[in-house]
Parts: sequence; C-alpha cells; structure tokens
Amino acid sequence: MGKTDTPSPTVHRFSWEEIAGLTRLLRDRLAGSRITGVAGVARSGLVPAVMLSHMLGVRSFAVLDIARTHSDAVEAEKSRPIRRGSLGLEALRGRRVLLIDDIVGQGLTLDVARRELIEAGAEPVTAVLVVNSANLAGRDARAIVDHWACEVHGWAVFPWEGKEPDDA
Amino acid sequence: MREAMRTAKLFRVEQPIDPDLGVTRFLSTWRRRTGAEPCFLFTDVIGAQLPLVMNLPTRTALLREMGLANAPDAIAQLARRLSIPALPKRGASLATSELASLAALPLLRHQPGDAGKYLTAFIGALTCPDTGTTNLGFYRGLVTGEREIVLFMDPRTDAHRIATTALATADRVPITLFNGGPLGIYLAAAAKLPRALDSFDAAARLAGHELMLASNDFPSAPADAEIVIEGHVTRETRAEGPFGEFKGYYCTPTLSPLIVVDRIAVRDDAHCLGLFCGKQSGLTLMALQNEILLFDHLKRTGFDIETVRYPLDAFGEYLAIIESEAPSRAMIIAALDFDPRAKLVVAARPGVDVLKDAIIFPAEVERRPYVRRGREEGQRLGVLCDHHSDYRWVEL
Repeated sequence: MGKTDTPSPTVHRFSWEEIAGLTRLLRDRLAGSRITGVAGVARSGLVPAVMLSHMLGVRSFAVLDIARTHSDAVEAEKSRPIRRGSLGLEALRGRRVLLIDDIVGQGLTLDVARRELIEAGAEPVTAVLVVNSANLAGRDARAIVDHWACEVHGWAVFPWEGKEPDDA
Repeated sequence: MREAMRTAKLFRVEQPIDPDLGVTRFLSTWRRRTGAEPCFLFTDVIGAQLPLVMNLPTRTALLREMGLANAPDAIAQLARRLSIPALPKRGASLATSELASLAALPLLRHQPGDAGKYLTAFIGALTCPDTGTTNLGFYRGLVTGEREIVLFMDPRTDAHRIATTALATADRVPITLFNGGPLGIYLAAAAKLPRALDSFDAAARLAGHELMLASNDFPSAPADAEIVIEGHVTRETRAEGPFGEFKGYYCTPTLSPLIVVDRIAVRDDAHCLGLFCGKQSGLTLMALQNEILLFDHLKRTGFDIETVRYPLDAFGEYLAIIESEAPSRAMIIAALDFDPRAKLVVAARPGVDVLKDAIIFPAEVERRPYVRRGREEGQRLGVLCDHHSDYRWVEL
C-alpha cells in the first residue's frame, strides 16, 4: 500500500524526570484525600501506581489487567477494553482506592477499571499522569478522571516503552 | 496563545499557590530537580480569578504557531516574511468581561528583592503621534494599587520617545496593555523594528497571516487577547524597582510614569500568560527576534549565510553566531555594526563547534568599543573561525 498524505500525529515524549515530577504533582494533590489503597491498570498504569503507593505510604496494592491496544506502535488501533484478570483486588474491599493509569482519552479503560473496583467493594478515586485531549471527543476531562497532572493533544510516549525518537 | 497551549505538553498544578514568590519557588525547585522548564498551568493562584500559564513561548511553540514547526530554515523564512506587508483586519474583542481590580489577575512577585508584583508578560501599545502607527513593546510594570501601575520605559526606546512627546502637549496619553493573542505579536513586540513600521503589521508579517485587531479610543489589541487593560500614561512619576532583571541581578529603582487604569477586560475563559525574566521563555523571544533581524540585515547586505543563532546561555542577546559556507571578516564587521548590544560575534561554517574551532585553529579577531548608556565599557569582539587545515578527525 502506498503512502498517504495523512499528517503524522503529534508525539509528546516524556522523560523519567518528567514522570517523577508528574507523579509528585499527583501526590501533592492527593495529600489529605485519605487514600488507603492503590490500584494500577496493567501494563503502563503500574509504573505511576507503584511510585504513588510509595509516595503516599500506602501498601495495599492491586493490579487490574485491562487491555485495549493490540500493539505498542504510535496511534495503534484500539478495541473495547477487555478485563483479563486482577491481582490483590480482595484486599481493597472497604478502602478508598487510588485507581491510576498512565493516560486517558475517551476513558473507556478507566470506566471498566472503576466498575471493577466498585464491584469489589472499594471506593475509587481516579488519576492519570496524562490526559490526551485529542481523544476527549468534546467531553470535559473532569467527567472522565478526577485528577491528572498533564494534558497533551496527541500521542504520548513514555520512557518505559523504550522507544528512541527515531523508532517508528 | 491558545494554539500554543493546545499543542504544548501542559503540566497542571491544581494546589493553591502563592503569587508572592510561591510560583517562583515551585518553578525553581522543578528546574533544579529535572533540569527542565516545562509549560505549567497553575489553576489556583491564591487571590486571582484567572489561571496562570508559565513557560509557554518556547522556540518550538513560537515556530509552530507561525507554521514553521519543522522548518530547518525557519529564521530565513521569518526574515523573508518581514518584507511582505500584511495589514491587520478589524473585529470585535473577545475580552468582554470586566474585572474591578488588578488584584484579580495572577501577577507575581518573581524574586525576593523585587519591589512588588510586576506585569512582565503584558505588551504595551502606544500610538505614535507623528506616524499614527502602533508601537508595541514589553515593559515591566509595578502594580501599586487596584488600578495603578508604574511602568518602566527605557529612555532609549521608541515608546519612551512617543510617551514623552505626547505628554509635552497633553495631560495623559492612552495606552493599552494586553496579554495573550497570537505569539507572533510577542515576537514583534520584543523586536527592535524600524520606527516607521507598525508593530502589528510586523507581527502579521512574521505570523505569515492576517491578524484580527480590536480597537476603540485606545490603541488596538488583538481581538483574541486574553486580558486587555486600557488606561492612560500620566505625567506623574513614582518609584519602581528593584526588579530582578533577565541577566540575574536587580536593577536599581527608577522614577517612572504612573499608568491609571480605566478598564480591565478579560475573555470568559481567560488564561494569563506569565513570563519569568531570565528564564527560557523570556530569553527565547529576545533570541529569536535578534536572529531574524541580523539574518535579514546580513542577507540584504549581500552575505551568503545559512543561519544566525543567539544562544540562550548568553541571554539571547550578547553572543551572535553566524553560520555561513563563506564566513568572512566583512561579515563580522557588518554584524558588529548592526547590533551594538552583541558583545561577541562569531562567524563559522555551519555545524561547527565554534568554541572548539576557535581554540584549535588560529582565529581572526575584530574589535569595537562597547558603549553602555553612553559610556565606553571595554570592548566587543568579532571572531572569524574559518580554518583551512585539513586534519583527519577521530571518528568517535
């Protein structure tokens, strides 16, 4: 298939230093919000989830395995999120739980994860490192997530993806 | 500005932050920890009704807004644009909600020794009584009351000349101070443009498209400006300063004209752009306009040059690096004569590490006296790096 004239998406790369800074911004915002559990959305939500569980001094931790993309390429096609399993969820019953992912757009993954926590008897407070405003489809980010530390209009590439700037 | 915000990596700070040094401490701590100055949106500046955006006008953001995001010859293109007139259009201002006091704006005390809260990212618009053209410039303004600003205008500037001339025959002179709108206007306001050229015309030329201006009895502001302050320059002078200047030291206090504010208007969803003197975003405006103007001058003079750089490490002003396939002493002389603020001008071949080149190879030097406020203070140097030795360089 030949090349098209479609403009390449805006790609925002994040460094480890920026991730540490964004996580600190979330920590500062969550101070005093009585979080007693943390749940991370696998895979990429686990990185900020682990960092925040340490920063907030919260040891009750769960992993929610929810998949949407089928590849790691920039602008990879997405399907409806699918629950694939969880780990440590039962320990969060009755707790106010910080549910965290790396990025949110339409919010479908976060919706599924939030429902899973509620079904497990937890009270979720949602947070992401980054909101992709290009995927909000006109919705206010507040309707999708409680806290976020950065906003971009385009694709985000995180340092744990191991992609160099020249990688496709 | 809205487009630059939309395309920026916008870091969001929602916790309450004190405009009296709190923002400074936050930004300084972030820079110390990460070595970076990302764009921040402070949504809760204590006492302010508007959010504050810091570190927005980076080089990337400025060039992107002017349609030159990935252009390797952006400086050359901007210099070319300067010769293509682009008269602005007229329209209604989006700033229609009024604020009662300057205290509602997220204005900062930037340094502990500053005399108070300062306007640093507002562009002042004055109408030249001789030509009828609009002069735009950056001025620091000390907020001394709910509707009072003491505005420092450097005596060497056209703005000072315009205000002084007008006040010779009138008790007060209308002035507009605006924040936001197309970032090309910020670039034009920072530039030392020819006196006869209307600053809005220059801004439209640099932007590469028409600008929409709103006007009434006061000098115009961009129709999409976030905040528009209309007022009058009076004959009364008051003390302002000290203020932490871009070079990192405090300026001494001055007696400067008092601006009495008639109206403060904002957009319904206004954001206030802030600039921190001496940091990346403020210096970038200075560097970029210097690069465009020197490039344009050297090209018009007939020199074959690739680009011009004013590194931010030298405050975007004092070191000019000219890249050319044919660097010459005449090129150095032309640059030294054109930009009297440049203390060091280097001409070298494209891609050359000028410091390394000047150290390894013999360099030719041109000297000029450095004149500051009418007094000779040392010398300015031009360095020509054009080696002919054909060494075999190591590969790694």
